[in-house]
Amino acid sequence: MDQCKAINTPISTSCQLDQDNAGKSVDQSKYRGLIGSLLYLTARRPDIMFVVCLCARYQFDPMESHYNVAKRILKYLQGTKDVGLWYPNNVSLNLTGFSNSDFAGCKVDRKSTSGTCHMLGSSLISWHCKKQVRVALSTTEAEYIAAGSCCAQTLWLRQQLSDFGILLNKIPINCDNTSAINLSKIPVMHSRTKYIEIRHNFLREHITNGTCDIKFIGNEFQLANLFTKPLAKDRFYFLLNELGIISLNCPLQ
Amino acid sequence: MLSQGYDRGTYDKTLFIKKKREDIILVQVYVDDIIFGFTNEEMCETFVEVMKSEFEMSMLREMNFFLRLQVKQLKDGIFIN
Repeated sequence: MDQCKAINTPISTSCQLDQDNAGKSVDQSKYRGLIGSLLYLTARRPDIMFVVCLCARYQFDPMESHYNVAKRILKYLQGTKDVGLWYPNNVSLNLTGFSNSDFAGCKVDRKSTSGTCHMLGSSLISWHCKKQVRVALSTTEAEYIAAGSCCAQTLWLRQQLSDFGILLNKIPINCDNTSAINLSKIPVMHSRTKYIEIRHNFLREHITNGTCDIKFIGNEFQLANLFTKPLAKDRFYFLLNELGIISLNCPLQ
Repeated sequence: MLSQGYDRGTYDKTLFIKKKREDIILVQVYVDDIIFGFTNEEMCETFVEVMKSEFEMSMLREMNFFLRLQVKQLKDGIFIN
């Protein structure tokens, strides 16, 4: 793959991975080795986080279709070797969380994926992509669960910052779903949220006691989109720029 | 570290912090790698003295690599890749 042709996004927007039982099997250890290396890379390359996590779900019985998606990531990396995270000087120390989820994104068990990220000023400091443990019955539930895990990470970062002598309260969590926001403020709308797990209500607790604050953000500026769905080229590069994932040598395109 | 007046991080037990009025020094330890940042030259010097007297230290310089991450410190910011 050293000589492969570069490609400009890590995943095609039409990519729909499933178990693919009819497909041709590939060598399990080769696939796992590749995924393992890519997972290590996600520690400094948030741009491939979503797709690596997607591929990692099929390690049990990898097929050619999964392997091809994984190989596309390598092609993308070929063209973006010098990309990294940019932490500019003199920015404000405001922590902002972003939470997003797709709904029933996994074709196999219809579970949703949570994607969250945190910005300190204009620097990306934490990111996360995970298939949710329980099946969500509505977008509201899925978004609420994602906002819950975003809240947990926010609390950790808040404590860490207070160790550094920076005390923050009412840390905004940006969510693009109004009903999830309403749910976190007042326990209403039972028909769409009847089965939500109690532990996710911990978000409401932290909003009530003032450590976090949940806010609406339009889809366009929802930075956590990068961690929940395959994106088209323009959108993908717009988000990379907003998140400060850049190349020092040449602007990404 | 604790005997030198450092406090441990609340969640991150490998983080050591010492505050002196407006100044702060942060020391993050990972097995045999240490990174530290400070706002006061004097605090840094004391830290280095202490570390040198306790351990054999090699390579004390501006950070270029940490845990295989390449860190470029530029005039207007820091770039990690």
